[in-house]
Amino acid sequence: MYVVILGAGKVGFALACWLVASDHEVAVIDWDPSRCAALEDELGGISVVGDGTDAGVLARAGCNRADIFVGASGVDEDNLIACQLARHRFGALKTISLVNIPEHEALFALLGIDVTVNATDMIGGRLREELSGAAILDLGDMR
Amino acid sequence: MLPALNWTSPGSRRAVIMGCGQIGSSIAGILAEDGWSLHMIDLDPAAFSLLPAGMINDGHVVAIVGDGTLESDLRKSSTQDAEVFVAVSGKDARNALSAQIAKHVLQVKTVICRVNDPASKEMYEQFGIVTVSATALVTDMILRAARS
Repeated sequence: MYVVILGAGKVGFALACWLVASDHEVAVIDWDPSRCAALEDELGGISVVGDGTDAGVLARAGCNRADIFVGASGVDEDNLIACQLARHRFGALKTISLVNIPEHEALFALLGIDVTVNATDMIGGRLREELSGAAILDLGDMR
Repeated sequence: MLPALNWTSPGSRRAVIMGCGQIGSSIAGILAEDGWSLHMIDLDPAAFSLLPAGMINDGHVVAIVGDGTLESDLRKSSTQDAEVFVAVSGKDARNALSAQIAKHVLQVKTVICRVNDPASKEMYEQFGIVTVSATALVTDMILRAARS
């Protein structure tokens, strides 16, 4: 499989390492050259420095032959736009996106992102399980 | 949840503008002169100083400090009741996200979005969003002048 990832931060870096170790082909896009350099130190020449919401940058990353596009940056709008371009302009088969702001999860699904990963809600859910034996505090009220 | 804002002039045409930068403030000035009722949303309260003097005090524009990429803040700005939504912040991706909320969630009839990358324009137009690329417009005008 050929997977293109937006974001060479902690999540993107870890995903790229796992994909390479699993024998898949990867390209990672990030606007920050030092993050790309750190990634390349580890995995070799698989990064593209640039704005992943720009169609030219996505083209350079080979999105036209991507099977999966992953929006793994810390900025929701960048993840959304990159995923949408990857699907509609470049024909990526599947799009997966981190959702940093919980309110955006339903929206991303509505706008056609195949898989959304809402880290805040996942952690909230686990916390709720852990705390369910103790004094009850509805985490929904904390938002 | 806060109630949505009322529009200042009942019966006037209603627009919400996301981004009170050079373009946003300029559009607001012209539409307000034409009698439109405007709500403007920007993350930075200082941005509203770009509006022509008196526009807020005279009630032509209601300024809202908020995030146009959040449905909740757009609802607080009464976007769901607007006829026109304009997304002209400094960042294309924010404009595109905001415009899509306005179009597909809040069902605004006319949604216009500034996105500089001409290659993305086609995709947004397919989504039903009018897209304006400053790069494309400027390039076009310069080429015409050069070739004439």
